[in-house]
Order: sequence, then C-alpha cells, then structure tokens
Amino acid sequence: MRRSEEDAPSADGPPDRRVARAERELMRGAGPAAVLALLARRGEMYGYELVAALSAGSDGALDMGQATLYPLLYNLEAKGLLKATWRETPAGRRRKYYALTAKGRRRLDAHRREWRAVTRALTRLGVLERVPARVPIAP
Amino acid sequence: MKPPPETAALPRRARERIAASLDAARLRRADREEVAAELVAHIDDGLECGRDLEDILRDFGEARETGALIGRSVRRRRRARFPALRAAKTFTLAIAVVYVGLFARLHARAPERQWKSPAAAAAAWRAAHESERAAFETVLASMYTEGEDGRLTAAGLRAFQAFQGKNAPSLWSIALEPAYFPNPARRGEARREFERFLRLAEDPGPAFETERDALLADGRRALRFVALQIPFERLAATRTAIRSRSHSHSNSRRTP
Repeated sequence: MRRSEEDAPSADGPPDRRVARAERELMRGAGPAAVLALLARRGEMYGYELVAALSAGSDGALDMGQATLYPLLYNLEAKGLLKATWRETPAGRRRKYYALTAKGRRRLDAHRREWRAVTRALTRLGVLERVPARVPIAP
Repeated sequence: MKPPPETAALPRRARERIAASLDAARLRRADREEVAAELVAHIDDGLECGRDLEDILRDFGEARETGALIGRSVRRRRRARFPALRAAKTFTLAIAVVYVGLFARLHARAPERQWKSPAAAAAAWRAAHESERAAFETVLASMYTEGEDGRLTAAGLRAFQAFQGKNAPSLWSIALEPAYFPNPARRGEARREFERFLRLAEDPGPAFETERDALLADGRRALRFVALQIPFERLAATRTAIRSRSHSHSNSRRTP
C-alpha cells in the first residue's frame, strides 16, 4: 500500500480522475477495517503509532505511508467513524490522537462480517488454506 | 512554495516536502496549519523512534498526488464538520436556480400585442373609449401572452410601469421582478377577477372600494393581479361620475 517516490507517475500533475480512483481504492481495501480494528483494541492512537502498528501487525502487508494514512484517517473522520483530539506529549510536543466513535464501532462490526464471509468463501474455493480460528496479532 | 511556520524546526528537505504536499492540497489556512502540524508530529515521532529522515520522507510519496489526496479528504471532513454551511450552500444554489427560472419565464415571452413602446401601450389604454371590458382586454393583451392560460411578461410589466409614469425602470427593479412576481395570475384568472370588480363597481354600495382597498393592502395578491391596478382608476372615476349624476338627478327631482 505504500506509495513511494520511485513508483510515482512522471506526469506533471495527477489528474483528478486518477486521484479519485486512488482514493476509492484506499477506502475499499483492508486499510479502513485494519485502522478501525486497531483503534477498537487500543482506545486511541496517533498517526505514526498507527503506521507502525499496521506494519508490525500485518508483517508489512498493510504498510502505509503518510500519503495513504492521513487521507484515510480524514475520510474516516468525515464519515463520523473517528474523532480526533490534539494533546500534548510529556515532551511538550502536540500530537493528534484518533479514537473510534459509536458509529465507527458499528462499521467495524460490519467490516468483520464482510471479511469473515470473504475469508470463508476464499477458503471454500481453495484460495486460502484453513487457518486456526484465532490468529494472534502483535499488540 | 513557502514552508509553513509549523515546520520551522524540521530539516530543510522535510520542510520543502511538507510545503509541496500542502500546496498541492489547496487547503484553507486553518486546515493547512492543522495538516502541517500533524505531518510535523509524524516526522518527529519517526525521528524519535530512530528512523532515518530520508526513510520517513520516502513514505510521503509523490508530493502532488499526496497533496491532492489529503486535500480531497480534508475538504470532505470540513463539509462533514459544518453541515449547516453545506445546507446553506445547497439552499442558496437552489434559490438561485429557481430565481433564474422565474427570470427566464418573465423575459422569454412576449405579450400578445406588441406596441412600439411600453408608454404607447399605457397611452393607448388611457385613451380607450370602449367599454370597460374591451379596454381591459387591451390591458391584458399588452401584458400577457395569448390565450386564457397566457402568462405575465416582462414587456407587460414595463407597460404597467409606464402606466404609473416610470418609463425607465432601474436595473435593480428589473432584477428583482422575479422575486415580486413569483406566481402571477394567468390571463384568464386576471379577467375573472376583473369581472368581479366590474360587477362590484356597478353596485352603488361601498363594496367596490372595500374590495379594492383590501386587494391593494394585501401585497402578494396585489402583485399577483397586478394588471387589475390599471382599470381601478378608471372604474373609480366612472363610479364617481355616476354617483354625482345620480346625486344631482335626485336633487333636481326633490327641488319643487
């Protein structure tokens, strides 16, 4: 999911249509569900903490850079799934913390149902091997 | 491309990268400052965790695309944060569309009878010596399109203004006409209302004056039946003449 400078398009400016497509892909993939799930488990997290947790928890499969994470967070906030609060760190720096809203919890439940159905279907089709019911995820 | 002040403590390369992304995001100042502060905090957190600056900046991706993505999502968030503002914009746009429609409705049609000028239409009516009904038909032809379902026209309103002595209405009054005449009576309705007033005028009692004053006092109804305001003057004069004749007649009968 990481967008690196190397694989960036060489065009002068990104046409709106391509940006809109990138945004749709961003909101359709596993990213939103993963962010909601992490916040449900941890209570509240800041941007860099989310990037690190997503990367570690998915063995790099959900590696996100700022280019992906912040638009994703702002979109989730616009939908009322997250709420953000600025707070000072013990070192005196300001950080923005994100937490789930009630609507976000309901959306996470919906995501879980959808992903469970997809996983079952892919397992039945033989795309996925049978895995233990609960896979431990790094905190 | 001026780096935002929030980035002052960062190395130059990081400042430039944030500035390039924010420029591409095209945000309002408050949003720009908030996003800048969050990106600065992100880089600081990365550096605090021992990551290399170049490594963190690589995650920024291509500045224009990153900026465009951030810009879209922040604008969406702003709209969600201020639903009243969004509703007001939609409402204003809807009003503007309706207004343009009303303006087009007034101006797209011509009255049944085309005069050389609105003043000529007004003068023709003043000089009319036909019956009241025939004279009012001239008024309707000067103001409305053809047929019972005929609509009030902008040229008709000019004729009405000329009748009132205003030969050069201001641009403002023309622009505001759709607001004053959002639902004018159709030609047939105006004729029926005139017939009612004609019957009242033929009655010796005070009903005509009472009804006329009530119509003129009710702003919306007065504008809806704007064409009626033209014959009122003539009908009132006729009534005065009839009354004075009947008065002098009864006096002469009473005199021995």
